[in-house]
Amino acid sequence: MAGLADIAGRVGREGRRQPVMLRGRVGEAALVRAAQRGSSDAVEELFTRHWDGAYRAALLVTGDRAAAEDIAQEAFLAALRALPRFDLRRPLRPWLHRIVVNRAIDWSRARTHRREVGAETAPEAATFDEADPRALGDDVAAALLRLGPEQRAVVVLRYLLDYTPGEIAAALDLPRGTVNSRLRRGLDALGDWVEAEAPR
Amino acid sequence: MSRRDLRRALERAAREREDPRARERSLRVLHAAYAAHEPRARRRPWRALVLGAIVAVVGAAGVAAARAPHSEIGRAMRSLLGAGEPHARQALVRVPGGGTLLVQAEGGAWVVSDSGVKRRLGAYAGASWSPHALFAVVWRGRELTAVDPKGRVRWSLPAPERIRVARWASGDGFLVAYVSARSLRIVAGDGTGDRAYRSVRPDVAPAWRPGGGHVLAYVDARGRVNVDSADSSRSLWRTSRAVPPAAQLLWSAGGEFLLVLAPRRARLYDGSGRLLSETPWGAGFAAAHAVWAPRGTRVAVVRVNRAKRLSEVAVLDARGGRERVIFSRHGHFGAPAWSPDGRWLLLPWPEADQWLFLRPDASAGRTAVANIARQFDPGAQSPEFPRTVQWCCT
Repeated sequence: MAGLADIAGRVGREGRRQPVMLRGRVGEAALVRAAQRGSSDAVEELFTRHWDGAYRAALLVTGDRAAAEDIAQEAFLAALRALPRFDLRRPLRPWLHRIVVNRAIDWSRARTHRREVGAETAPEAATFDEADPRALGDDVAAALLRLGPEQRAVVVLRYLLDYTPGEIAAALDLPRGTVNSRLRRGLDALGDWVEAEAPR
Repeated sequence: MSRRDLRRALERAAREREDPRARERSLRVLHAAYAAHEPRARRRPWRALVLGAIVAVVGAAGVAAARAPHSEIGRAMRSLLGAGEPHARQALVRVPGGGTLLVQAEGGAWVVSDSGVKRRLGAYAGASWSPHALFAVVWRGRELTAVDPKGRVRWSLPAPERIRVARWASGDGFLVAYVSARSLRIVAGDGTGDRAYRSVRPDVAPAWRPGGGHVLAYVDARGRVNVDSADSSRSLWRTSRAVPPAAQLLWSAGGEFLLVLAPRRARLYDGSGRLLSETPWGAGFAAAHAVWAPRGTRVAVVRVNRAKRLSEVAVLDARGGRERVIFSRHGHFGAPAWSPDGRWLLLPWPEADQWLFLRPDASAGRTAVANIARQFDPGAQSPEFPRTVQWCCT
């Protein structure tokens, strides 16, 4: 099984093994290729590079730690399942974030649905914890949770993960105009806390 | 505020609320899943040829040995090759058929989502789903607890003595029955109104009839099967004969049949207590486990022939028809579990350290997952195979 040092060695200019310290220099395509060939070190390096962004995006869209962990974890497992046929010319990051944000939106919608069903038919469902925006304490997080999940998603993609409106439109399968209007409304709704920079 | 300030504020908000252990847990899951992933092979034809030749020789010897179950060579070869299905996946990364598993392992209870994500509920001695898997009732020592699938405690109560088993009422989920020492007790689904109900034989778990109505079957202290309306404490019917030791009470999915499973024979009653059939297993076989399909009147039975060290899984229909043996191997199997859609049967195989996902209605297409003990007893020097698994609702 190829280790990370082997990968670094292959991409090194002198064709010999490089120390693991060189992790940061190994290109993503090389890591994906190594992962396809059985390097668990490469998988771990890809995880390390992308975990924070995926988990934090899910956390801000759902407002729920456990759900965010599940969603981010499932996105990585989906990436693993897709690994054998993954196109090395495509960057992994937007592909992963697209899964995360769409699942986080689905989860937030489903939570609303569960609350409605539980109140009517299932007494045990009514006792589930709800994410309480006030409990979050921090103003920006609380303000964010007052938005709908779709608006939260575009704000998170734009301002946490730094995607352009065009990239967001592609990730969420939306017209670019819709992305812009959701960004504008989202930033308006964040209110006084954010003196919004209007989306371009 | 600039875009950079907003980004910093969002990062800070996320950082302050994130669970620092989430990364480590997820990385563990990812590594386990990756171990099951088959890497893209490099092109080394000579190596494949040599490997193929070795596999062919060892495989032929293994097949020959497996056909001679009582021979020393057979035992040695099985020991060398290992029991279990070949080509097993090395980790559970997806639950075929969907649904959620509740696994009781040595170190505690676990929930496994359909995508294979595992969550440890806590160090409990036993666990059982609520009817829609919105909660689980779990127990350890004298403590009975209701938790949600994320492990958050909803309520907890102390029992008079050590708890042996608990079952959440099907249908509305308003009641929970549990056995504390030799006393059957009932508590409301919100943890209130705990009361002693009857004296029972503690080795037989009570069983709620599906479909609501709070009808409960249990074996009383004299060994007789009782079926009561728990709401009114009224007896609906009772058998005159005592059941043998190690019996199990099992309601069919529609609640029209009660199967009383004992090692040597099975008795089938209808909903009003009429004995419909009494089936001895015969030919050296004893029944170890049975589970009704989630719909219809089929039941999967695990039987073992101790003399031949042979176990088999048969699917029978309570309305008649021929039984069908769908899987048979040397060794012992654990209690199976049907998928919520009734298309898969999870069969634990402790000696192989595998879970098999069988297709009772298909001639082929089973899936094996290996390294089960390690996945549910991580960190243990000698991991134990999980004791039970329940499979619930999509």
